[in-house]
Amino acid sequence: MTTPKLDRRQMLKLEAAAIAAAAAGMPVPALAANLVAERDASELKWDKAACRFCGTGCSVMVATKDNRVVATHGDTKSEVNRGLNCVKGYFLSKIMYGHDRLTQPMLRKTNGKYDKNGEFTPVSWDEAFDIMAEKWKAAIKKRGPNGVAMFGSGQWTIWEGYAASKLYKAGFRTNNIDPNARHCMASAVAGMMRTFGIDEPPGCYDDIEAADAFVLWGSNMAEMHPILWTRLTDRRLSAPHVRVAVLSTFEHRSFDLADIGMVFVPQTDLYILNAIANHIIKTGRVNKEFVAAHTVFKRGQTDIGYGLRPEHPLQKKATGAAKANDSTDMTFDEYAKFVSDYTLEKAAQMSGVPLNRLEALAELYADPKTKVVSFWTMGFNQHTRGVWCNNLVYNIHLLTGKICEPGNSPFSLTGQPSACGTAREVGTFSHRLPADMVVTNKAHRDITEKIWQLPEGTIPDKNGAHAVLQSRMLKDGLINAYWVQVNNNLQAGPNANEETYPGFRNPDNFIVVSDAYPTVTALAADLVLPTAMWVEKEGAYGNAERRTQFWHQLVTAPGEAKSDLWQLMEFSKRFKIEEVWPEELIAKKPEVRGKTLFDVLYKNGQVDKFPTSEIEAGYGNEESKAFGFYVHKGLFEEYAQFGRGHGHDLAPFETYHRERGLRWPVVNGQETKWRFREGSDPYVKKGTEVQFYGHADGKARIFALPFEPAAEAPDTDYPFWLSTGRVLEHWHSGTMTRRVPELYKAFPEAVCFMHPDDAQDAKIRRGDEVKVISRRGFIRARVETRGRDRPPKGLVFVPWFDESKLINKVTLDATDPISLQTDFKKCAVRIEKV
Amino acid sequence: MAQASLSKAKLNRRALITGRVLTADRIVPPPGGEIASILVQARPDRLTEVETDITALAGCEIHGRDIRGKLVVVVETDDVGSLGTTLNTIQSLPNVYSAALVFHAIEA
Repeated sequence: MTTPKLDRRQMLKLEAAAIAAAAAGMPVPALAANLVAERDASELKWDKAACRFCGTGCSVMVATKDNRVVATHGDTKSEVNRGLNCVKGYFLSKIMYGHDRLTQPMLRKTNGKYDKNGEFTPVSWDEAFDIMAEKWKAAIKKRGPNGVAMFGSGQWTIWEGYAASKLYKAGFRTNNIDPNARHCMASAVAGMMRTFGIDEPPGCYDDIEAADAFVLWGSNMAEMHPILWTRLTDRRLSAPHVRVAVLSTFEHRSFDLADIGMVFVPQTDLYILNAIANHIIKTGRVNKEFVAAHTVFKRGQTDIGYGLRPEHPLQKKATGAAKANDSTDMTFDEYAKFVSDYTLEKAAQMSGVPLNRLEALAELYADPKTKVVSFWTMGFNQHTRGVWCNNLVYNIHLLTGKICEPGNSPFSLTGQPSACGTAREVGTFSHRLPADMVVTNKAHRDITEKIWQLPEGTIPDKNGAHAVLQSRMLKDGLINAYWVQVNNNLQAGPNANEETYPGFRNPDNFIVVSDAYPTVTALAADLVLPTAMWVEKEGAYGNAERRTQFWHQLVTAPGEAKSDLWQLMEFSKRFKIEEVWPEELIAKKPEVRGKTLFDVLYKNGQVDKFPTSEIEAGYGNEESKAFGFYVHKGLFEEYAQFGRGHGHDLAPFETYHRERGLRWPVVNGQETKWRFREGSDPYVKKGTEVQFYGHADGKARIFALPFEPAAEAPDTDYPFWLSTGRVLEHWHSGTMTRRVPELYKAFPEAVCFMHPDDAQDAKIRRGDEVKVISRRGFIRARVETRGRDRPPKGLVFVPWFDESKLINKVTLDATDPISLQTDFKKCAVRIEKV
Repeated sequence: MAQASLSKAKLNRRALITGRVLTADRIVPPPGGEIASILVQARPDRLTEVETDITALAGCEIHGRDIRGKLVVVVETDDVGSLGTTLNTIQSLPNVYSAALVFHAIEA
């Protein structure tokens, strides 16, 4: 040790500086470098973990001491964040230590008995599961398997989502299980499935350093994906020819770096996307060879409705609603004729974007020498034509052949840490099974039942209720037992006043919420289960670039808090197979008779195959201790059977505890950076160069899809567009970030961002309290006219993180009819001074 | 403690409409001060101004500088409240493109 005189604080400062300099590729002072080398000798225990927050999938080093997280730094070995972390990384050492952390199950009771209108009373896990099982059995008896449902999460670890999916689809025999990723990226999923026949992005983050241009479609990466934004900024600053185009319905932080900034009228993105395709064709820049070899053209069904309740006038009027996902063949010439109506001039007129900017944007795509990465998130996905937007942006990349190679990449960013790894790959959606398979396909069900060692016909053949439909069915009393894990849907779901909240309080329904904190959703429930979070359990997440990452349990959860995995598996012990399966199904596999769902689903000779002695020395593992086998490994290895050899190959379990994640398919120990490209993707047939093997003919689909209007647009009574979204400081509904004091102070409450002229016209001053009113409800908020978000005239923006300003009382539950994802970006409101 | 606050919370229709469902003091402050390092990306021709803005903030020191637009900032605080605020302030400064946290320790 060369620095005996330095106190602990000085050492920490030097260490902090040295790690930052190293991450930036800047010279590290010698003294500090020595300190870092001595890291191993310090009293802290350092381990890797995937960040708990967004879908970027940063790896963080986590220091623990006396069973508490005390320090974090960006993982220098991570290819994703290269030693950096965003401001949210700063919360990681605090998110588990809010004072209102739930530590005991709580049941609403009056005079010692369950009462829906009673007060929350601490109960034992036994009592909690007793009443839960009673309610589940009653609901199944009354309504059949579809009387129960679950709303899960893109924040579930891979094994949690897998265990939940099995419990519902095979155990309870209902497909009424959906993740909150339905609100987040269902349109990206459907877009990929339609165009490519297989889910998840063709490219990866390595595209950033190879690109000549970036186009952000609605995404505000500067605030929502700061680490990727840092990489993009680095590329822009170090290569002066690089161009950044940013499109949004209001101006935000990402516009600061934009060479081409464009604010467009909501919904006209459909018009702009088609106009770019038309520009490419008109100026003779179609990559004809690529298009002929690797694509076919499809005319998509139109007039597909808005996913509203069937009796809604807009639904009744929609002629194509019943066949929204259909399409018919067409030729290139027919497609060219279809888009010829979409000129840049008309796009400029409709969108309000100056023509010269649209031309500059179109040229980024059209110029064969410019490598383009397109990024999008909720702007496309939360859109009643969100699947179309995804298809249309793929059209542009396919027409020019700018895809599946370094720097040419249409890339859907994700908002949750395992929306890809759990919701998409495990298939926790109400229509899905693992590895892109679907419940409506007999062959897919057969494969699943075989791997799960269940009799033919166990998995129901109809799609279950998706997020918004679950809320409607709860309200209508058709689902009577409901379990919510790792999400806050009463705050996050649309039209809370008319659809979500009534279902929670419907006297026929029993609502269970598992969470670490008393969210709005938990407080509206009948039973609250305290949950272990993040490094209080062994976990696995899959990020936006197909990277699977693991972490070990590093600390223990407070009080009686238990992981979602433990809760699901322990609850399954409460059901005898005879209580949930019909006799004719049991007859096909008589040895299950008398067994519990736990025995049939988890203690099945596969999941319980690995002894607890295989857990890496030095790490706790509560679930395995409770069940007597290495639960996580067993679930993972059973799950991995679905993808291995089918384009979704995962590496062996132990590999992920060593690596900073690997991008699937992982074949012969090699990860895949660019899919569908020969030489990079092992599934591409030799000599084809590019093969979109998701479709049997190996070709991607280019879709002809028109402009169609939004479900609700401003009128004289409700003259403003309302868009909702996020802010840098808070993550989603704020359950974790609102418990960090500095961040609570930094952005304490949601405001209504508004154009100063609109405010002046309504005689409203900055800071005035207003009502934001729609046909469905209202909230009160203060007006901000000078903030970081600058809406154009006619639009207001309200973030949704604030549980005291539930903007989803105002939003409309219109969804994309194909993806069934809600459009949180467009409805009509009026603003009244209070 | 947690149970007490939860059992007192009543979520009725009125509470949902007025949004008064959670209490304000909901955080366990970590003991002691905090130290963090931040990598700042800024407009290269305005780097000096950004540097001046940052050093004017309480507890901020510049530990490294790259003329292509990068600064290594170390922040230390004795109390709990200010570090997160400082991070956000830096992120929102004029001519700053991004501010990434690298290292963070509590109980410093």
